[in-house]
Amino acid sequence: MMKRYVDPELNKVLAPVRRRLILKSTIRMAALGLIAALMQGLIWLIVSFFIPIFAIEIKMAVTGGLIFIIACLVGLMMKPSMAKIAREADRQGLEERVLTAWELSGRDDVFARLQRQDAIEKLHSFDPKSIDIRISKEKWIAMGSLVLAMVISFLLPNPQDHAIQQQLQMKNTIKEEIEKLEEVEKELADDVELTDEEREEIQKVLQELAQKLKEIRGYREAIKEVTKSEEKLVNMLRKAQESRMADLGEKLSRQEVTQSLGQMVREMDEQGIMEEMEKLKEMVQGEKIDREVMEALQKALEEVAEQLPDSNLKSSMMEAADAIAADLSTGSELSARALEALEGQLTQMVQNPVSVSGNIMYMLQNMKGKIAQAAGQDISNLAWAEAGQQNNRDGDSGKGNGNSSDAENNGGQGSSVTGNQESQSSSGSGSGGEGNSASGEGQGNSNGNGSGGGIGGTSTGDGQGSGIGSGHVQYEKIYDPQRLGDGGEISQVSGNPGNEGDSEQINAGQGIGSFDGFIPYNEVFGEYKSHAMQNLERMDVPPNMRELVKNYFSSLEE
Amino acid sequence: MEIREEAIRTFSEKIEAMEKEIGREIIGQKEIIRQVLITILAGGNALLEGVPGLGKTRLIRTIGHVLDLKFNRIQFTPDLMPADVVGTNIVTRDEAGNSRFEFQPGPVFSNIVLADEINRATPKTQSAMLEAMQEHTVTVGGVTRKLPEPYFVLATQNPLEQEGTYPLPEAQLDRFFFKLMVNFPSLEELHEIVNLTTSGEEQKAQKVTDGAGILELRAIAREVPIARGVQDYALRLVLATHPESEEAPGVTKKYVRYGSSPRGAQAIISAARIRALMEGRYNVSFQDIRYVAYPALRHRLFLNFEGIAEGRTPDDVLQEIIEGLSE
Repeated sequence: MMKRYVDPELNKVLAPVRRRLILKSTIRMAALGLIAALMQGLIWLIVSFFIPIFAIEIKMAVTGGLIFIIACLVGLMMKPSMAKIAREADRQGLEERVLTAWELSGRDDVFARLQRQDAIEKLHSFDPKSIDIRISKEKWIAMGSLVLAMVISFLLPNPQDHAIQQQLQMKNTIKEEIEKLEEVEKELADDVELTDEEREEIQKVLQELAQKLKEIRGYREAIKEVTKSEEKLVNMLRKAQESRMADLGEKLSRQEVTQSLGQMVREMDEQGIMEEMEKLKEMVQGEKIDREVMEALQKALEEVAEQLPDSNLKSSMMEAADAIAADLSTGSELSARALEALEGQLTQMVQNPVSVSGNIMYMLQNMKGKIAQAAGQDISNLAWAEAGQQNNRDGDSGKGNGNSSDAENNGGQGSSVTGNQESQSSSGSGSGGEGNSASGEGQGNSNGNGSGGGIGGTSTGDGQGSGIGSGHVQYEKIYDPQRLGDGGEISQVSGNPGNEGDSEQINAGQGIGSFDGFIPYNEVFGEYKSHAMQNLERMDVPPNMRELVKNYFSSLEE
Repeated sequence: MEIREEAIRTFSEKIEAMEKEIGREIIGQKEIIRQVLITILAGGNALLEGVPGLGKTRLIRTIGHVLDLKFNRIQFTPDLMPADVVGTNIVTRDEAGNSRFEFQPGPVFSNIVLADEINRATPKTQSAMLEAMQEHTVTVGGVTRKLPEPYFVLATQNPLEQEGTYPLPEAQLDRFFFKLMVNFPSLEELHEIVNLTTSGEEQKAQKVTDGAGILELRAIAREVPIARGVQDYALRLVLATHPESEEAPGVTKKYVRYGSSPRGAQAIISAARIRALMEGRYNVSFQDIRYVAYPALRHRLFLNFEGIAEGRTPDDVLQEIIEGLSE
């Protein structure tokens, strides 16, 4: 649109009117912005009665502030058109003189000149302050009403406050857990069991988890992410352990005396490892000691240990080599024990590939519990809800007790390695519903035998275990550090050192199978409950608090 | 005609002088005087409605005197014939004794014609005024004769005695530039009227201008500029009187049968120009439009049955339309 010519003198006398109108539009827009800001605040408040909104005051203030600022800026930038200026001046008593003069700007006839002169003359005596810039009564009423409505909304009890508090608590918990994650990440640098690559992988997983947790809003998502990270770590560590075992097996295979052991280690054959270790132990003790073999073994262990990175395995291997060297030089009989420790180390590596990251896994497990607790949820309920299906399982756990009787008199020393269980049979039945509860029962039997032998004496130990199997839904696994490494009790057989007597050792294996520090919740529940009940009796606990604890465990049983 | 700057500048003074002189003989009725003057300067005709005895005849006579214009009065009655108004050919004898037709001009041949109680004449006689009012000519016996300029018809009608009257048809009403409502004077005005007319010597109005002067003022008034927005307002106002128009407010749709013709718009703009000059302005304002809207439109706005039944008047409806119309 072509810009209309404006008489310069007319334009000049209209400048104060223009400025006044800019001020007016700014004030008007500011008032409108304020109304819009208050309105959006009220909408936030109304919505907050139905949906929990975290930090609503900040959201209201930020959004409202933005609206207000934008409105003010728009008001400032809105330059009034010439037509508007003319109309506004005319409204203040100039009776369309300015508008007509503006339209006649290009004309030079008698009437146009007279009219322009008249308009300019009137504008000279015109006070721009007569243009009202005050906020209208309607706007004041609107603002007042909105403020009142907001105050009332603030004062009314909000049913979502509790949910917000929980969310806040959950966020704080997540924040704390992220800090812990970062600490654990730092501690990884000191973990000698891990290679640099493994450390980096773990750090990456933890960093990803921390990042996701920062962005996550709901506790379910948070728990899912933690679970995912757990799974990632377990898979990763399992693969790493396999590779480590393969490498170790390779190294052992290169030595003649440990060739077979190397093979078993490579294949991660726990039973084979134990048998091979048994053979090695036989070589270094008893009557058929072969010094050459012992030397070879000592040398082999030393060489393999030197090739390994710093780790418990390396220490165990070095200790075994040192013990054999000591046996050879001083005649002591430390080799068997050292080899036994080495065997324990090797079998544990096979059984529990993720044991190296026990702290991390424990922390992750704990994290889920804390997040769920902060969100006012029961982690076990969540597990049921997630499972939502019947899932019978073998009665695959049991508790075994090993008893051993003294060797008759020969004072040998023996021990049964672990009270072992072996699942012999199991049966289970269960039922599960779609919702968040399921129940079932199962039975499992496990029997184990343990025996210890010492030189000059025999000792045998029997372990029997009976376990309550889980014949119901797959419970959330929880970390139980007390059970790390084995599932039974150690049976010690004492005897006097000597070189006589038969020694028999039957290893019944691990009752739980591959126990990695995590066991289903229901398996420890009884134990935890019984501990709690005992402590309640012993400690000076107020009666109502006792009742509370009892009710808590009762509710868990339901 | 070339417009002199001095004539423009002194326009309002001249009008003021006319009003002052008329006011010597006519007590009160200032708005009526002003609106009659507007009608004369716009070259239109006015219809005055009011009860008898309010000084309508006196007003016209005084205006004629002040403006130095010839004045005729026609009292309309049912037996008045068109020829009585416009004139007729009569048989006369010349000096040689030959008979011939000679046109005898009727009372319309004057600068100012007062058509008193126009609604008492038959429609045939009323329509005899149409050509004179609109074209300022009279055609009798196939010969068209021009009426003297300036020419102005001021018709009156009595709103009370409606029996035996012939209400003016819409087409004829539309020929009137303004319809003016003459109200009864106030007590103070009555005092003055009585004092002026019943005691001492009456004050005589002086001549202020003449026919040529009127024509010059008329030419000036036609040149007054009007902003597009103001003209737009006036035209939207006219459109708002039409019930079928998009601009029509609820009151129009409810109470109006027919709205104003384009003559109404012409009347508003012309009258607003004159009013602006009278106010000492060289441009038309919204207020000018609003001021002239009532006399210009009230006789061009025809209420429907519902409007009449509810006692609404065109002025009521116009007021509502104006109040609802944005500038």
